[in-house]
This record gives sequence, structure tokens and C-alpha cells, in this order.
Amino acid sequence: MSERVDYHIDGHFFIIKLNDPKHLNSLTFEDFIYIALLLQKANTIDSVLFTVLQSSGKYFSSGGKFSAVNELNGEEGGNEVEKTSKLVSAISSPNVFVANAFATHKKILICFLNGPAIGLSASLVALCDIVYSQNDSVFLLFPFTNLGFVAEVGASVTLIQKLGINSANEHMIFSSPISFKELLGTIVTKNYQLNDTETFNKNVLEDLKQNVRWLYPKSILGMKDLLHNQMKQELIKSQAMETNGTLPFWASGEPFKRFQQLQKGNRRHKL
Amino acid sequence: MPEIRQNEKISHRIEGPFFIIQLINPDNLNALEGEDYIYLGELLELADKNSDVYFTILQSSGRFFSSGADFKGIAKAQEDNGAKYASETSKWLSNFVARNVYVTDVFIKHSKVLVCCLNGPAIGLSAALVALCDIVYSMNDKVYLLYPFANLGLVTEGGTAISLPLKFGANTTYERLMFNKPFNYDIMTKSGFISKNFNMPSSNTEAFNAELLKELKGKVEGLYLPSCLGMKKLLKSNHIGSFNEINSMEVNESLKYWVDGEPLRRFSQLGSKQRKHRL
Repeated sequence: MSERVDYHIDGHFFIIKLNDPKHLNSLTFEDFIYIALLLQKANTIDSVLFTVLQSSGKYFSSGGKFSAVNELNGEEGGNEVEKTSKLVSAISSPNVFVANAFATHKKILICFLNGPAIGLSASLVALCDIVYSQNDSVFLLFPFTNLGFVAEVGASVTLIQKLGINSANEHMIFSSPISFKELLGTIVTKNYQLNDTETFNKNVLEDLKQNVRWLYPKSILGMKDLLHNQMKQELIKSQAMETNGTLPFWASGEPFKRFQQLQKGNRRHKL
Repeated sequence: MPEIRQNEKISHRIEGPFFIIQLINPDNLNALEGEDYIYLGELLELADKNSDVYFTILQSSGRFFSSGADFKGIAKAQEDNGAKYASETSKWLSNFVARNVYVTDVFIKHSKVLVCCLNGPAIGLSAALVALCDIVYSMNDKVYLLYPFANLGLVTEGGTAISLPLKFGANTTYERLMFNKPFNYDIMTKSGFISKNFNMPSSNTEAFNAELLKELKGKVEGLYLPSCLGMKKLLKSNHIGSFNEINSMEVNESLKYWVDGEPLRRFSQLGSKQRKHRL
């Protein structure tokens, strides 16, 4: 239940939609958990073959809401145990629970990338099996080194595998955006060259319906199971590595300082 | 900074978070002898221990990044047949295995971000080290990497049995290695191996090095540098196990070839120009 995320089922398609274009579809930690719960739901419905992530407006999603991050910070001088357990739970929920829902998802994950995606939202895009882009103004940005922590939600695995090691290193270490040119052929399969997001969402879905008309549903899911097997193992391993890798950074307080600067306009994404 | 002996072919300096290592023997195309590779490894260790350093930058000078192992060095190793070695195996353990496994290991385990400023072609073990760098920028489209192991009677070294398939794909790697062909600029760009081409003339490597360093300074501005190292650690965790394993396999396999003598025959043909690198 979220006012920013809704879903509906259309034949073989379980469609999750981000519908808060006014705020560039930025998401709270609860929204990410809700998306994970929807993935679990899609898994249990036999007639569903594809889980679609689509959005609305100009941005796919600008990432985690600043206010949600700042809430985590808590008051100075609070109880150490309470502070730590609050932090562990907040950091583990995307990095373990959400990441695991994507890693173990049985249906084909398809992202309708209507615009830029940033941070944890970009991590979700990188976890999708197939990505279509609305036009060439899309980009992915993983600003983790600019925000004072490290790769989260599977990005340390997905980017290495999909972009190649050197390119993933460059973009992750310098927080530099991954342009459409670099996404095409590595993450984006087809560019629709459209301006309107609703038309884009509609056209991609129509194409997909055409594509699957004569296909054998069990083969589709069996194929994913085989293709995804190796990546799944890597992703499961990365849940521990990323969670434990990023926790000390959050505990140090650096990300909070930087999120506040971002919110106040004293810090910018490196675009 | 802890003291380290000087080397006339390799210089180093620290500038902010950057530990800059430069090959400075352009007249000999920055060819390196065994001792030079060991020195390079020691410099990396020095950078690794320095907590003010976040990036280790490899630069070169002149037309070539590095033409690889110096033939003169190899001839020296061959003449190294004094009483101190009980056998050919013992000699090549010293002259090949020990130094090769060391320099490869130092690159594999390096904790700082390794950036290569690729000004020109790199060959052999030097090219293997380029493939072990985390990020590579090129001066222009005349750069290439050549791994002439099949032409020299050797097998892969410097972790290339892992780094090349990972970075260029398995089929491309087989084709290039089996037939001794270079990985040219097109292959390096298509695969995302080169992050940016600076499009600068080959005649001015110093300008390229300066421009690239300026750009790197801009890139790290405002970043939380400990995140960069934490990020490298995570990204590296994907393959570190495979690299450690292959380092041992490669040197032990190569040792047989050195003991057998084929690489020496072929290196001396190269030295006397009877054999050429096939480009």
C-alpha cells in the first residue's frame, strides 16, 4: 500500500507502476519494501509470466526520498543499541529483503525505462532482465561515492556483469552517469524514441503481448531459471557483502551529512 | 613517505589522493626487465600502505605505454647459469616464477583504485598489467594491447586467462590469443574497457597525462574518498578468487615452457630481428 506505487494484472503481465511524477517518483524505504512484496505476489500467480516495472512523467525514479533518509538519522546522544538496530534494519531492508525479492524472482522482469533513474531505483533497473527505453534522454546514475556510502541493492554485481568491469568501475567509483549511448546494447535492448510516457507504456505492452502470443509459457519461465542461475548465486552472495560493506559508512554519519547538503542544494549529483 | 630505492626507468610522486607512477624510458619504448617489474610491484605496495592515497595512477611517456619484457633482460637471465642454480627448474623459478607471481599478486590485491593512462601500445606482461587496472583512459585510437604468448612459446601470464575473457568476452579473447593478434582500439572501446578516449596526438604524451590528471581531480571533487575504496572492494569481490587461483596456475604452467627452452629461442630471434611481433 503506497500512494506512490500501484499495480494491476493484465493477462500474463503483472504491472507495477510508479505514479508520483510530481516528485520525480522518488521513493521511501517502505515503497521499496512494497515493491518487493508485489514481486512476491507476482511470483505466486501462475498465469503471470512477466513482471513489469513502469513509471510516469519525466523521470523513472529519482531514488530514495531525502526526507526518508534524514529520518533515519535520529537524535544526537540517543541510545546506542536503539540507534544501531534502527540503522541495521533500515540498511538491510533494501539490501537484503528487496535485493532478494529481485534475485529470486521467477517471472521475467521487464523495465519500461521512461526517463532517468538514480540511486536505489537505478539499482532496480539494473536488476531487471530486459529494459526498453522511451528515448535517448534516459540515464542511470549511481551516486553512492558522492553520497558517502558504497554499492547497494545488487549494483556491485549487476553493473560489472552488464556494463563490463572497467566501465562499471568508472561509473561507480566516480559517481558518473551512465548515458543512453552506454546503456544501449548493455542494459537497454530497444529504444522506442517516444516523447509521451503513457504512449510509451502502452506501445511496449502491446509489443510484448504480440511477442508472447505463440510462445509456450513454461518455456519462458524455464529459460529464465536457467539464464538467471549464475547471476542469482552472485546476487545472493552480494546481499551480505553489500549490507556489511555499506553499514559502517552509514554508521559514520557521512551519508546523512551529504543527503542534507543535497536537500539544501549545497551538493549536486555529478551529471 | 617510506624510502624506496630509485629506478631510472620508473618514477613516482604523490599529488593529493593520487599516487602517480610513470614509466620514463621512452627511448626504449618503456620495455621493462624483471627487476623493473619487481620495482613496480614495490611501488604499488608503497601506495597501498599510504592512507592518504586513494588512486594509483599508471602513466607512461613517448609513443609506447610499454613494449613488455626487455630482450636484454631475458638474455641476462639466460646467462645466469652460475653454480647457484641446481637445475633449469631452479633457475627459472628464480628468474620467472617468483617475479611474475609477485607482480601479478600485488596488482590483484591492490586496494587503491588503479587507473591506467594508456598513451600507446602495451605488450606482454605490461599489457597484462593494463588489463588488471580498474579503469583505463586512452590518449587516442592508436593504442592496442598485444599478448604475444603464442608467438613466444609461452602461455598466458599476469592473470590474463581471467582478465581478458572477463573484459573482452571469451570468443574474442580466444581469437586474439590463439592467433597472436592485438586487441585494438575498436575492441577495447566496444567492450567498455576504455572509459574515455582523449583524442590527443601521439607526439605529446605529457599533455595527455596532464589533461587526464586534471580531469581526475575534477571527477573526485566532492566525492567521499573512503567510499571509492569501499566500492572497489565490493566490485573486486566478484572475481578476486578466480584471479588468485589463475596466478598460481599460470606461473606453474609457464615454468614448463621456460625449462623446455622454447621461449628463449624465440626471444633471441626477436632480439636479433629474425622474429617479429605480428601486428
